[in-house]
Amino acid sequence: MTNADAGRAIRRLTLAERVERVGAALSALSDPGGEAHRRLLDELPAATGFSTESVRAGLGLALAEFNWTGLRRLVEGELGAEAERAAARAPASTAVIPAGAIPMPTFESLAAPLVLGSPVRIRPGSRDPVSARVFADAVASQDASLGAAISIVDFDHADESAARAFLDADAVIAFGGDATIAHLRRMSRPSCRFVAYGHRLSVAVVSGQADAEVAAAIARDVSHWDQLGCLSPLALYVTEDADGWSDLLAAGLERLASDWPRGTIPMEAALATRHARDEAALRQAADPATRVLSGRDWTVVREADATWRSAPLHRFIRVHPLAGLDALDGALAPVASFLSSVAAPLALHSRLSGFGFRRCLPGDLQAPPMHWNHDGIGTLRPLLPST
Amino acid sequence: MNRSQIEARLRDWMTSKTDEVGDDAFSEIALALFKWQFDHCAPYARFCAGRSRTPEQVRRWQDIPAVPTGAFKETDLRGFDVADTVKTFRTSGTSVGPRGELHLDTLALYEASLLPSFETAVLAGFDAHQRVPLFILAPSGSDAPDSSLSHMFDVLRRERGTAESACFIERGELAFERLEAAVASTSDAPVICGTAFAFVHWMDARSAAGIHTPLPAGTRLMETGGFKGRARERTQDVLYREIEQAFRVSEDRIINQYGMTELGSQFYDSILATPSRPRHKRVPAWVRVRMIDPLTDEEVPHGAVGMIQILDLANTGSVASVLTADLGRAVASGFEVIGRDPEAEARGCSIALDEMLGDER
Repeated sequence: MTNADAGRAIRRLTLAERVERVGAALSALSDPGGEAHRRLLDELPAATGFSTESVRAGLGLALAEFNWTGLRRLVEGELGAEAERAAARAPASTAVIPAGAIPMPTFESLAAPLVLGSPVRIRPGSRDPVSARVFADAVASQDASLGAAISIVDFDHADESAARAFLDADAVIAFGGDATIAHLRRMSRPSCRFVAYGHRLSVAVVSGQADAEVAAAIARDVSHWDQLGCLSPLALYVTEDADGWSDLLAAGLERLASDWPRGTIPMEAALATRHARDEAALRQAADPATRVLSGRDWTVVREADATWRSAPLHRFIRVHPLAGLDALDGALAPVASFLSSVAAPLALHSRLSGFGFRRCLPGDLQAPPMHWNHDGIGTLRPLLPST
Repeated sequence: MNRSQIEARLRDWMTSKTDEVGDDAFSEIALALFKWQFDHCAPYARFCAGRSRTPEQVRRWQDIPAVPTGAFKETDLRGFDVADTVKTFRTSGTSVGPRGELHLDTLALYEASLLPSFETAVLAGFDAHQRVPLFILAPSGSDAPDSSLSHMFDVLRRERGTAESACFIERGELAFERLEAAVASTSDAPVICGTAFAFVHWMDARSAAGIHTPLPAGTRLMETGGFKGRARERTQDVLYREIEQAFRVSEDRIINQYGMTELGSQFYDSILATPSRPRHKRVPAWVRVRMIDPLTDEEVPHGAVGMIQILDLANTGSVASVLTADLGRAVASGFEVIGRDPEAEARGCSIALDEMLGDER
């Protein structure tokens, strides 16, 4: 079937029908008794390096709202009452270049064009050859025409002509670092709708004395996907009791090290962690306000101040004391343009409205609803021409 | 053994160009130096004590705690009074954050250590006191007073350079015409030393000027430094191919130097010193290099990849044992530096700050 045929076939369905069927496919991904979910649990750990327990926990949390309701809210939220008319302006073809090994961006970037009625092709990343295929099969089992509108394409990374042919689409959804995004943009049609989701980071903010429940929730946010996602907190800012928060966070990370074991870690990342730990230990040697708490697979550095420091990831979090919430602006200034989400108790949300694209409760960082304002550009909206 | 006695022994090794120092002799000096540094550098002492590695507890040089290179940015690792500082070398500039600093209260040992390594690796085959044209693609020490590389080149010019030896980076720019004139007029084959990026600039300038003449027969090139954070990044293989094409200098006359501000010693390719063996980094007799597993802190099996940990006894005034940010592999008579996998962090969409802000180590 040609791309045009596939497009015609899925546009014969109404928007509501596409939402219903793609939503059903998303639901299948999180159905513990279903084939799609079983395949994800079976195949993702070996392919991605995450532990099976981490994959189960991560999918369980993140896919809770990946379903028909979530998709419907996304459509209503981004396209409003004129959704059907808006979808009529969907791109004739969409190409997706995912990055990394966390599956949710792959699901979302395939679901979005399909819902709009745009056939989509994807070149799975080498670190996750699983998610796109499982999702395509789940969609096909709901609706053959929608399944036929997903193409999974493999070509050599260095094959520039194949890459150009792949990117010759009306819309391109690209994930990755600045250099990757810039490269893909150069290779795409100048006229295409180029939707770029660059690298981001997230943080957590708390006030008051250390609270075991909140600290445990932040430890879960850190441990999900081994802190490699852009929704993973790299730092915790506290207005009081930095030592208490650090101790509780350490206890939470230690528990999770056995419940959700950390996955494989590349030598480069292990080296970066070792450096960051030892650098902190030397700062501690010069000023005991800094403390290093660590287990085999996690690190908490109680910093002496709010100065932003590099983040080795892989379950490494810094706890920064703040003189007050007003000091957060200055503390986050070096990374303000990269900030995605902020986890904080509800009472602080109104004070944090200027930070990132999303505020949520500790423990919810890795589970944004489908209709969240993804990187400030949304999910469906950027695929459509502006009116 | 006090520091003067330690330095005297080291100077003996350096000036006699000893190729190898036995483990017993090395261990004696290394442990004595560790004790001196423990006693005179309080942050390092507390760092070691926190690891239960005090001089009383450490019996082997392999157990001397290493500090990461990044620590030189924020922790004053100086074993002498600040007032006695005669020189501070700083790491290359970054867009944010502090720069690493190596403080010295004497330049004597620093300069004594750099000469034999350079002479053996780059001036192999020259008579001991023969002077050579040294053309430097880096600023002079007076233009870049906190650059250890510029200082090193100044010393080399002073000790081994002919009168025509000079620096060809002025106010951050390549003095292209002056360099071409120097190359054209030199009567002896020059040794041209500089940063890898300076060689790229030179090739670009030659290409733009339509100059394709080869460098004089016998020219040797020494390049150092990488391309991290630079717009025109390339691998060493690619760079050497480009150099061969642009200058007609064969790859076996191009020597890479691996060095860093935080160390007193440098490591050069073996290709001229021992051309019969595969290219590797030579290790001076007063240095030990080990490859460490960052997860276990154990030495990896010979030939396996690990993080490069260097015990450089020439670092007497600060900390001798340094953990680099590079990966490497031990080979028969030295080591290789392994490039980092740029995709190493590609499992996620989060990002380390170094990458975001274009930090250059």
